[in-house]
Amino acid sequence: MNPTISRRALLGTGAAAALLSAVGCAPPQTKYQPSGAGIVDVVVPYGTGGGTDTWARFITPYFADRQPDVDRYQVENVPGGESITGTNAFVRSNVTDGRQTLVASATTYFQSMLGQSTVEFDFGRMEPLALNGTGAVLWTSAESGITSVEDLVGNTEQYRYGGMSASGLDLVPLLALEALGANIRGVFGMEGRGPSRLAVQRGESDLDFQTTSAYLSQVQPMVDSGEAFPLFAVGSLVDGQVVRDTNLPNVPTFAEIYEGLDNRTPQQELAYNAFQAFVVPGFFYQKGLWANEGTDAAVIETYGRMVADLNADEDFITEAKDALGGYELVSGADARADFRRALQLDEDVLAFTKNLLEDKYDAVLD
Amino acid sequence: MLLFLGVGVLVGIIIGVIPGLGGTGAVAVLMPFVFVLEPNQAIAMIIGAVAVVHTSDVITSVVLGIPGSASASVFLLDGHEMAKKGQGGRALSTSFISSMIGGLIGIVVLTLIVPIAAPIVTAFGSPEIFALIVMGIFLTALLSKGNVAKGLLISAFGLALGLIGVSPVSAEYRYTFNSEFLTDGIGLVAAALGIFGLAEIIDLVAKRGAVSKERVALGGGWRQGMKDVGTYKSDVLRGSAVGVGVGMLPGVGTTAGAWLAYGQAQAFAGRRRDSTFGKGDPRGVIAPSAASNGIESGALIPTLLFGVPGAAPFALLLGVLLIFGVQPGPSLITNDLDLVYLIVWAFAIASVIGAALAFFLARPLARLSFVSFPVLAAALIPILFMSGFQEPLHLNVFYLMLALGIVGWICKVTHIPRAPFLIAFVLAEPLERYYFLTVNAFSPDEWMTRPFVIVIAIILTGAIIVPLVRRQRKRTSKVEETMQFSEKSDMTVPPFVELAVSIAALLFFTAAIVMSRDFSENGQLFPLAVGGAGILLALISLGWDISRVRGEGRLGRFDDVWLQRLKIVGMSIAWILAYIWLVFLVGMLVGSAAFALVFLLVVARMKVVPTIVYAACIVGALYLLAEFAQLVPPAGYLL
Repeated sequence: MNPTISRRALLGTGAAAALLSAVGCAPPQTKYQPSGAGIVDVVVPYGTGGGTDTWARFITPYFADRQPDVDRYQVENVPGGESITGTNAFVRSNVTDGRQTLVASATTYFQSMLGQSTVEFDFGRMEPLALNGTGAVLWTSAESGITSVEDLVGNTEQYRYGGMSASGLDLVPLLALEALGANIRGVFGMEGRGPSRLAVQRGESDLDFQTTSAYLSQVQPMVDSGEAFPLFAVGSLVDGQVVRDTNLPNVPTFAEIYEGLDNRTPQQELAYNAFQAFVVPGFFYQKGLWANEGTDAAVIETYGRMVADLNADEDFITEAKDALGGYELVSGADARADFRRALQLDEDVLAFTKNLLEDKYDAVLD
Repeated sequence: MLLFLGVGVLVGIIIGVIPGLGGTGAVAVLMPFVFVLEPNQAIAMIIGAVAVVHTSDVITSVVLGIPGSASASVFLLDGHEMAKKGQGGRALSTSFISSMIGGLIGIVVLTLIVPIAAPIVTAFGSPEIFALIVMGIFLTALLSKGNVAKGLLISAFGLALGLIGVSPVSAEYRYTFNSEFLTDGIGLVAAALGIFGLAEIIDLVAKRGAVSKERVALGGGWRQGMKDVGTYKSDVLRGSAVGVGVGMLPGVGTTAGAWLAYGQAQAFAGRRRDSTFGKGDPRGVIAPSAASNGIESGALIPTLLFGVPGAAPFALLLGVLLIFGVQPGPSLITNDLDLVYLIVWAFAIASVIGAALAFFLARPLARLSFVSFPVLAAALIPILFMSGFQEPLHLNVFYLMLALGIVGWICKVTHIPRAPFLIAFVLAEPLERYYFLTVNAFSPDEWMTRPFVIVIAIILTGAIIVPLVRRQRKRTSKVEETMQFSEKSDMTVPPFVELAVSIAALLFFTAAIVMSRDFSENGQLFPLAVGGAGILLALISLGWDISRVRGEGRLGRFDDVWLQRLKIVGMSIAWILAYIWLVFLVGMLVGSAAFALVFLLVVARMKVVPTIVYAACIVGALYLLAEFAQLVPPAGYLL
């Protein structure tokens, strides 16, 4: 080190430090900057390559093709805080002209339903543009000792349910099992639906919940060979009624099972009410393209028209069969009422759900 | 299709060279293009990138001593030591050939094992993975020879930092101080680049040296590298085997797998008594190279057969497969065998092309170690920060990286090995996750009696007891040869620094325990265990330091040479801070440009014209990354 240099450098850095100490705090990174003319921005509050991101990247080009003034959709992943970070940023930017959209998924909806303290959004007030549901199946292996759903009604021997986190998507099957009065122990902390499926095959858990497409590809071969069997499905929502899933005609819906129970305690009633509330955003409208509250009616109409177009388009239906899990797109205008009704949780139902999570499954809600 | 495979390979190689970006980064770069291609082309492209990213990330680690990706940090030990001796070419060629062979062996195993893979994967469950992870944690002790107490202390520090974020069992936030920034924990890339990369930069920036002081013809080294692979055939095989095994078990991960391979190679070498591990032993390059590609090919098994991603980039591959209507699962083998073979062959071809490409790239890149360091630093500092920024997407990560850089530098001068920190940091989350999965799914007598768990338990007890018994028997006064994993720094620190480190650790772990009071019962278990272990180790370490102070009869003080060095380090930190604030003010691209210009003129003393050209190149590179590689450049207050 040559002393003159060090002095000059010292002076330089000293001056820089004085000037810049004003900016010692990190600037926020989530300012909305439109990508440009003809580009619609899509905020995906999850990492690249996950289920929701893949869904977003698959579906948006079809919308771009059907709008003359839109060249493309630009996906921007803002993961973090279990999808709260990106969704908060989207709501803060408050774009209402359709230039910026959000792709949300069940995890995001549940965060706001359970009232996590960091949530700044309310899906009960935002505008759904296009939604896509999926069915799901609760299944078990032949080795678990469970032979039919009857074994889960007031069973004495405790069965293990394996999943990722009790307050996430697993909440739906947990509420269903609670409505049966099943005696369940949670094995939580798995890294995804794949590991939870593997856990049943390894004998680490007895019950697992899979979306229909994963069930058909991964579990159906085991069902055919007699190693596994389904217990119930969530079904699908047609005109406000829960009916059997066309992809799973032989699997009873949970509604059927529950209706067939003889004597139901008030606790079970509450659990079933909670199940009915959470299954709507959790599965029937699991993934969706959203806009902020107060979005122009023209934008919502455009998407309604495009969804109708796509559902009438044979090519799209074949191409989308796998990406959409074999379920139709639903326009936001059609689904809005159902969705908002589901989000209006009664006080006692919400209290019951929170108690169940905190007391029985040691989940931490804040 | 071959063309797209080539494109994938090229992207994988380039992303691999960029410090901090690994397989996931490469796949993310290719993601937007996937949707416009035919399924086979897209799959070939992704596989091409995944298969080679661990071939080229070695280059940065070996040549500059800055991790090319988190898993390549393992090459900072022997690989970088070899480069310092002027054997960079040898280290690199050894690595490329080993990783090619590792990938090919993995593919052969894959082909043979596919029909019988399902029972193997289902036979290994959470208890086995938990046992493996415990073994990985113990590995940190093996790597801490030389400064055992402090090495274990830094492992505990790594575990503690790994606990930050969402708890895997109770879904609560721990140690996040109500900031959005820490909710997803500290990014692995940021941690690795901070503790290894920035520490290196802090030490060297203001000095005007090059990484390698000895000029040795590279060419000779290349041939020697090929010979090494021949000499240590068994290490190539064992490394590949470890890799394939780890890859087949989702949950352990590439970084931990590479270190496990390194650990086993070192243990075997120790038995043969010709180990020069930590001083530039080629086996320390061979084993992890073979393993990291073995992991990628092994990870294909759970990905394709169970739809469970065996390694991070494969989660993205799964998404791509689903889009094209390929449902991974047992039926894949019966219905889509041609696709399975396409993937397997794409992988094999990519491994070979990748090794060849890496050879071409490595020659010019290896010369970087003869370039004056400040010149390199002008480009490295922006790239390191940009890479570290990608996971959290929050600018506070800059401060965090700098803080870890300072910790890393203190480790450097006090001979504390840094490898244990990273291994512990990587394994903290899976350790906790699989512990709870194991105890919740099984009763103790069920999981403790599983054969694989017993085998690992025996190995671990053996590893602890045998050296103790030997030491008892010998009782010789002969000083044992210690293995040093921290780079030799040329000066010993005065005793009071060691003392200060121990006291700081004691305070840190006490704070960690105090703060864990509010966590739920499950969420509290690991913070308490780690904090307790940390306090215990800090006390032991403190005892040793006090006895050293007594032995020397003084606390010591910094002499003039030390003061000079501290001044250099202080200057370097000031430069980096200035850079951080520049980015806060005017954003990544402009901030980097301004910084590079001033820094090159003042510190590296380049001439004006080359400075302008070089600074433009740096900013151009950042711009290209942002534009084509989907990296997010941080925005500042003004721009």
